[in-house]
Amino acid sequence: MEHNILLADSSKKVSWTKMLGWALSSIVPVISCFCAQKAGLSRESSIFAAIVSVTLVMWITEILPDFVPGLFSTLMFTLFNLAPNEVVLSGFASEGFFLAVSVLGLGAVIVTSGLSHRYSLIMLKAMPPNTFWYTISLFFTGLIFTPLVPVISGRAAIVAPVLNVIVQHSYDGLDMDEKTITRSKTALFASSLIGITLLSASFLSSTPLNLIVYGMLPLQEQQSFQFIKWSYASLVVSGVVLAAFFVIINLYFRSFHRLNVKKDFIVGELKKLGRLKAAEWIAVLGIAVLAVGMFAASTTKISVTWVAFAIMFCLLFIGALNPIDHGTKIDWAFLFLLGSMIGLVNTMNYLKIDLIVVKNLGWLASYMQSDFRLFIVLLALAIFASRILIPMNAAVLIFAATLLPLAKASGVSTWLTGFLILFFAETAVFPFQAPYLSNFRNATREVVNQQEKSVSAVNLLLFFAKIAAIYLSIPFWTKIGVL
Amino acid sequence: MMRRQIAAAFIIIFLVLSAAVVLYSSIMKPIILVIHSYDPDYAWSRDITVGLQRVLKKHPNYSVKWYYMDLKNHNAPAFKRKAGIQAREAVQRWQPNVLILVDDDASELVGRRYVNTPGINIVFAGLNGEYSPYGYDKAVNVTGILEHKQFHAMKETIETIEKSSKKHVPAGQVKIMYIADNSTSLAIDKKYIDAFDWRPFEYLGSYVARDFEQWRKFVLEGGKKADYILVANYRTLKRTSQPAHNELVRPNEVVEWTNNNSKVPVFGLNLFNVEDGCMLSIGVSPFEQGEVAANMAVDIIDKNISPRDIPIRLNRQFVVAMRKGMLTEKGITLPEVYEVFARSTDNYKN
Repeated sequence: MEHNILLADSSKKVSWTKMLGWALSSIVPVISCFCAQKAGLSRESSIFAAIVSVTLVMWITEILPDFVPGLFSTLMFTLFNLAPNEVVLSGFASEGFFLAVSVLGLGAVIVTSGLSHRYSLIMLKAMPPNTFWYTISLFFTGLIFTPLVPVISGRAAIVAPVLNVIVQHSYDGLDMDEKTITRSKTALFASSLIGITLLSASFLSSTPLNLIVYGMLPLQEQQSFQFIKWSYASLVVSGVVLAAFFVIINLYFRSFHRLNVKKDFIVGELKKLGRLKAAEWIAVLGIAVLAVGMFAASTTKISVTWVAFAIMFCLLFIGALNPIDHGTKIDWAFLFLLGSMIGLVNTMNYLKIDLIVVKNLGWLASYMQSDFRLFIVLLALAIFASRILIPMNAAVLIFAATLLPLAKASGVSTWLTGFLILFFAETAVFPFQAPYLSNFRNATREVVNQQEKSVSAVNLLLFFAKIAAIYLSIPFWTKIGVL
Repeated sequence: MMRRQIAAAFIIIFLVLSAAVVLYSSIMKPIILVIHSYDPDYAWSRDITVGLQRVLKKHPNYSVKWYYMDLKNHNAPAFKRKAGIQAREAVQRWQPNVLILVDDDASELVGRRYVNTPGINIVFAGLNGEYSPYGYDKAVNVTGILEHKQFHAMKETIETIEKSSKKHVPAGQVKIMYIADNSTSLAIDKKYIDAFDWRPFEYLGSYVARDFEQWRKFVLEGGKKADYILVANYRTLKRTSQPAHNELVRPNEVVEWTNNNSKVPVFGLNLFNVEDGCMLSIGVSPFEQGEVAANMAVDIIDKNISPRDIPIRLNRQFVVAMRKGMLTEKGITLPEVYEVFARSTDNYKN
């Protein structure tokens, strides 16, 4: 989205949304401050309401990149002395921030080293040449890189070329009608796309939003739900949606058939890559050390955050992550958003505004406490509806900032609440709902003429499967003490 | 080429040595895991933490982890079970050298599972009753400090007030009643307060309120039959008796209502009762609980003393807290030493 109105070419028209966004940015904070004062809130709380309201307007209308309103809120909290600097800026000194820096750094090395590309070619070479195996392979390629590459667009950049290679080199000479071929290609497209997104909520390191929600959890919950526990607690949900995905893809497309794969081409590409390069070894070593750090945390007594940070330090030290990649491949804009969001939540808690939220949303808290099953449906529908109007980042941030304090006050696991928000918010039925969806379509458009409606239908069916998966996971969560 | 290889070797040596030193230092660092039964904002837990930190901050070589079970705000059995599972997970995660368990719920849900577990030493604090229900009497890895309320000091205070009172009512006609919520710790305390010899006063017994409605009823009835009402805690009072509504009434709201509607003075048996709004309280020192527990942990780690060789202790210190203005308003006069004591421990409010 174009953000620089003042410096843009004067011939370009400014959208109505943008004009409305800027207009609301001036009006909404004044109204919010006035209403807050009328409601009897203190001066600090009223100013907080005004600043947060303008930040929300900017996020929802997308008039600026997400991190800019975040930093704006940080600046305003400081200038108005709403809380001490150590509270407002706490996000930039939090474990969540350093975990995010480290995970993004390791993710950048995995992609730039060429390791992911080599893996894709090996997978293509190994798989039997039919759409059944390729559907599975493409899906699992996305899935394998879900915990390793912490940005969905990064995973899309890995899987899209693989999909292009399969489609370019496997359909020549097949004795099938156009309709069947289109359906078959759409199935491959859908599995690639869903593979990179479906289990995003199940791995802490799979998206920047997960890391933001992690950073917003109470410290005690952060210590409990690090990498392994996070994935373990979402195990049943992951299993059910995986099963649902294969059932849906099988029944919906019914397009399993043989392919004429030109394996010579793939073998040639692999030969070109040669033996494993030093950078790839380092990426493998980084993943291995992180895995050991996770499993041996109780022996080493070192938090996974600092293991990950040490790995990033080593990558910088030996030059595997050079200063240019460190500056360009790590999403610093996201890190600023993360730091400012954690600071926003901590400022809210410092001003005791979380208690006001809890008091005013007591009815919702009692659903959370007394009828969690109904709460799940309400939350799923609310997120689904809001995602049609509000961008994903804004939706997750708003729901998390509202519901996490409520969950804490109600005695419901804040991790579970955050997980539900992330899990449901990940559903993008229409291309406009997620930028990576459009990017993935654009990256594969030349070779894949997927049926738009079919992919949307599969995503919609998966949304209902997600609700079922949450219900089926309730006994498991009860057993492990999450619920 | 040769130079490059040598430089690479130096880099690897540097990284390996750095990792080895960090790992060694980390693995050798003693870990103390403090599991509180309640939440960090609860005055009792907060002040025990102050006591713990007074000692532990002198030992920067320790890694101290904190875990709060939040059972004052959520006391439903399902939440208790969940809190127990998560606290035990924290023990597994940190593998502490010493586990400090504060208040009864932590011992009930965590401590009893680690009795005589090799490698884990337990120090308890804030246990209201006996330690045998948790299996600590047969344990070789447990020591700690008990928290028994200062009934004797409270009786003396009431005697002092009565002697200075203008009404000159015979002590035998002065009646005391105790109102409590139905929390775990107060259920244990009830046994002790009921068994205490309150003579020459007449003790009317303890009244356990399930919810705020019942609390209000007890306070109003108490005003008709007693001369003093004693309270200790009220944090688990639900607003209504309806099962679907789990909202707990804020402590300062309970105390404010009680002060406004009680016809007789209401005194607290916990230090924080005055912070909540009571006029006077004589309570066990939470600072002592924290300091003693931390010192026991230090002895176990630094002096390598087995917990079984450190005797279990009873609390010795109590603290007075008062709101002078409210006492004066009720016509209650206390010797000046009470005020001096309250002021010197920063528990005096006008």
